[in-house]
Amino acid sequence: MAQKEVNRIDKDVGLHDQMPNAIFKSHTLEWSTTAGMNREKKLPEHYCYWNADLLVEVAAEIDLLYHRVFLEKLNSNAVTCDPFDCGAPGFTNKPGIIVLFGGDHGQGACLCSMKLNFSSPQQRKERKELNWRCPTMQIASIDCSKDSFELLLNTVMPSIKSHLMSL
Amino acid sequence: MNGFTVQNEVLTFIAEGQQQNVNLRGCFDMEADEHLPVGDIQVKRVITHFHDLCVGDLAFLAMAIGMNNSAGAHCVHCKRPAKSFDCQQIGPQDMRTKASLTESLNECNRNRHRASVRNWHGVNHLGLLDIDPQRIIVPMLHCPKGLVDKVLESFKDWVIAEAEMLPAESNLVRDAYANATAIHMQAKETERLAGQGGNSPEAIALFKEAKSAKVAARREEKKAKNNFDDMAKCHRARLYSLSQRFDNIFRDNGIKKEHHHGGKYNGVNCIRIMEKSEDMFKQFATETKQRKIPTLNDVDIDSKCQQCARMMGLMDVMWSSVRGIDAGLLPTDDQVARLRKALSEGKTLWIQMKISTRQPKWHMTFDGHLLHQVIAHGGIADKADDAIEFQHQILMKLRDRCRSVTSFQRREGCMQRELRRRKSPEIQSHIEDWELV
Repeated sequence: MAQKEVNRIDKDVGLHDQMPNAIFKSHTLEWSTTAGMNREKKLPEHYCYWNADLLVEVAAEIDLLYHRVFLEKLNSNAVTCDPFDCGAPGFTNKPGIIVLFGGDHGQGACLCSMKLNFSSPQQRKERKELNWRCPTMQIASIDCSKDSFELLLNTVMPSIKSHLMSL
Repeated sequence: MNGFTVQNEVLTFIAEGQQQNVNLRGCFDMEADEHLPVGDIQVKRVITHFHDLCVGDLAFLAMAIGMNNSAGAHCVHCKRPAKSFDCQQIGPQDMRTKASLTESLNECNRNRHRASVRNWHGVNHLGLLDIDPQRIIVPMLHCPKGLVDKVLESFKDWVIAEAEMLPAESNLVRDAYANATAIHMQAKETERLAGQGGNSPEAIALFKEAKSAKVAARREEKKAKNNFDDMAKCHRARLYSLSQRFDNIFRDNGIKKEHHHGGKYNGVNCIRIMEKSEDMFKQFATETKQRKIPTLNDVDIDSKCQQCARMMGLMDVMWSSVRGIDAGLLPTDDQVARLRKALSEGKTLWIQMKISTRQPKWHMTFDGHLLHQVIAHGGIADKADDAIEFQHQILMKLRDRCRSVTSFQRREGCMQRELRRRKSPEIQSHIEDWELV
């Protein structure tokens, strides 16, 4: 594929120069001391981590979804920009979408991901596709052997907390 | 949306009372498309609210709301500690809220000077995230994993403690543990009876004697249990042990342990175990009968195996209702009633089997949190924690591909670009075409 084509696709999926990049940082975790006899203190460990700009990631997913919707409706005359608000059971008073945020440690990394349920449960049930129009994206990651409260507190969580509140 | 302007390739509009600026150069190819109809641009609200819910493993969820190191002993949804699990009803006053988390933290801080107080209702820190505990979804991957593991563990413990014919030396250790347990139980009963003896000096002396005897018996039992656990661990590793034969049966049914799961079964394997439990427990019963102690009769073995198979079968019904697209999304009243019945039967059987109920995973499943969430959120199949877990698998493949990149930043950057590019409809159609060919 030609570089020009790659650049165009990158731009379509939200990878262009003007978008803010993920923030890469590192943190050194000092392990707590132990009162046990003949036990040496574990040496401090150095962890690398990154945080994506959550709002940009969500915007990119919305763009991609519209891109797909427009492609599907290419032959029809009326291509409109319909809202994604769908009925979310449990939140009946407010229209909107469900956002699933979570984290888990495994295979040497603590990943934080987000799933956006752009379609309503009715639509998905009718199509028999549980995750139709429900993209999942990574929003942060730490290279670590174990996830601890101190580690999360000093690395990815403050940024995720503020981003989630902005969202 | 009204009140927006486009000036110098910058779109300005007001959202939620705040001015927002968007540089159009970042959104459109302004050089290539000189005649971009800037005047036709419209600003439209496409999503009104983002309703956030939280998923993950229990440790992560507990840390997210400020319950550090409390994931194994407290529930994240209600204030009940492990010893109060197995309850009939959870009242609204027991449920955690943002306000109750703050109250618990304040109480914890007030009592920090007391060495015995490490948390208050499990809370000991300010939460990592500002989330309502009621927006935490019961982990549908981690809960069945924990419960299946607990049933298997209980079955294997029963086999080695009461059913399997052991070598003479190991048998002595088992008998010693059984004797120590019996002596401890007897000492407890003696202490209880001595406590009812009244307030005379003789009765008090008798009570003190019984109490010290109980303490000594408990100490002996603990020592015997440690010996028994060591013996059981060594025995299970021997080729001729029943544990190894059970592992062969698991392998024959396509169920394998993975080293990175600490010798436990992963989510897919747990689903297979639940599905094939009836056949597998029949095979376990046959194997056990071949290597049983002479005093145990076949009926007891069959009864135990049937009980375990039934428990697994009920869990299969429960979790397939919660996870499946049919009953897991917008369930009908009938489907909810079926889930309620399976949960109730499962809980009764679990208690009959005398398996510990002091696990938050058990409490979330059987004490009503799961059913409440299924009803409140119109099914939770699309809110499972496996969406998060699945990212690990994608990441592992990408890491393998980018293993030659030594810099963390470059490697992760490459992986993120790759993940994003895969989402392009154009790339996806290329992949689909290639797969068809």
